Amino acid sequence: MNWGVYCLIGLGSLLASRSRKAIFAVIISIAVLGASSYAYLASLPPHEGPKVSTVSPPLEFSIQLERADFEQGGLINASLTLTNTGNKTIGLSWGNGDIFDLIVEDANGTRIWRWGFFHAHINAVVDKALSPDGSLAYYYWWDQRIPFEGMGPYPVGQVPKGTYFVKGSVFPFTLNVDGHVSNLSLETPTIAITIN
Amino acid sequence: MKLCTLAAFLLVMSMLAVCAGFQSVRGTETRPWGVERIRAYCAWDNNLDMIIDNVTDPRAGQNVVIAVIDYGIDYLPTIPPAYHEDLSDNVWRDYQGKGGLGFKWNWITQRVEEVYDHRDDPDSGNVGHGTHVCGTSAAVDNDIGVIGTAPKALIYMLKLVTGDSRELVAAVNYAANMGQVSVIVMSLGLNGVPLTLQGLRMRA
Repeated sequence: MNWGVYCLIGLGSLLASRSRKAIFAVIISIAVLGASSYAYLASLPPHEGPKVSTVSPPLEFSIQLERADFEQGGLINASLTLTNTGNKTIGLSWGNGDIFDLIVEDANGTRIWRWGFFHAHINAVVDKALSPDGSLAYYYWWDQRIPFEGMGPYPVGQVPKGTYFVKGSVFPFTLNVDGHVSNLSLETPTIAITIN
Repeated sequence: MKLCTLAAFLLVMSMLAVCAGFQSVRGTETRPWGVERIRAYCAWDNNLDMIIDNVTDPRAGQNVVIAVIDYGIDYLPTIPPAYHEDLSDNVWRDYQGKGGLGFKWNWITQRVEEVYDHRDDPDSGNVGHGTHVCGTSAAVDNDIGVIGTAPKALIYMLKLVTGDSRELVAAVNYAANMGQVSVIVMSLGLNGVPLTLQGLRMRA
């Protein structure tokens, strides 16, 4: 006998009484409901939160968060994107592996956390080429905690509830457009977030 | 006259041989930029014939384990029996036969987890850097690729999975507690130095 026969026999014994039939129907209904709910949620476009940009032709630099309100202890995810809005391929060069930075300030405008302060970067020159409409995108996150002393007024640990401001920055880099070289650094406007 | 010509020819040829010796080690093997800049070969190549002999083994890193803290190493590509010809022989294996260990900050548990992930991540923005650093530190002396600063030393990769400074602290502490490690290599930087890391440097 193969597995199909075993399944048929098992199903037959399961449906032998009325109460078992009812339980079976409930289980099937829950499974179908769960699967359809999952399929519906998965088909929805990802939730897009607040987004701000700064423009310095031919570049546009933007930061986008999932939302603006966060539970205390949650993870704050940010997407930082540098886009070539011009019509020529451009060259970008950084002196080390620090390309973007995520910066958090408190309500007084004091910097309390920076990705670059608490994350190691590689010591290597980074060269990138961006074709028209091409972009560089990196994802950063903050767990609402101050990991070590040495930056900002807050003690190590979870920051208090309240309003904070998040922004992105591009570390100083060299821009090469058709052999014309310039040094730039970019910073987005801030996005206000609330930790509840 | 012929004798003078022959002597001059031999002189020129010997000079060319010496110059060639400075440019390459053996076969197609070359010295990477960093090794060349610090003239590391002067420590283990007394007669500049570009071959490490037994006498200079200790100065080439014999019996020395180097912990490289970086973003992974590509010493054993996915498809066996292929291996990295310049690194595989110089990888120090732990009691499980692994050539490294990874450190990952878990923001939910608020702990750094030790994970058996020390491989270079091709999807990472830092791909290749750890392997490059390992090669500059201790690439094998053979006929191909490059030669390292200490070509007889053994390397052990301590990988930072996300680069969080708490992973860095865990990796340095791990290296300091290993016992076998004599040197810690970190080709890494921070934009600012948290006080904890200053103390950590003193401890290491």
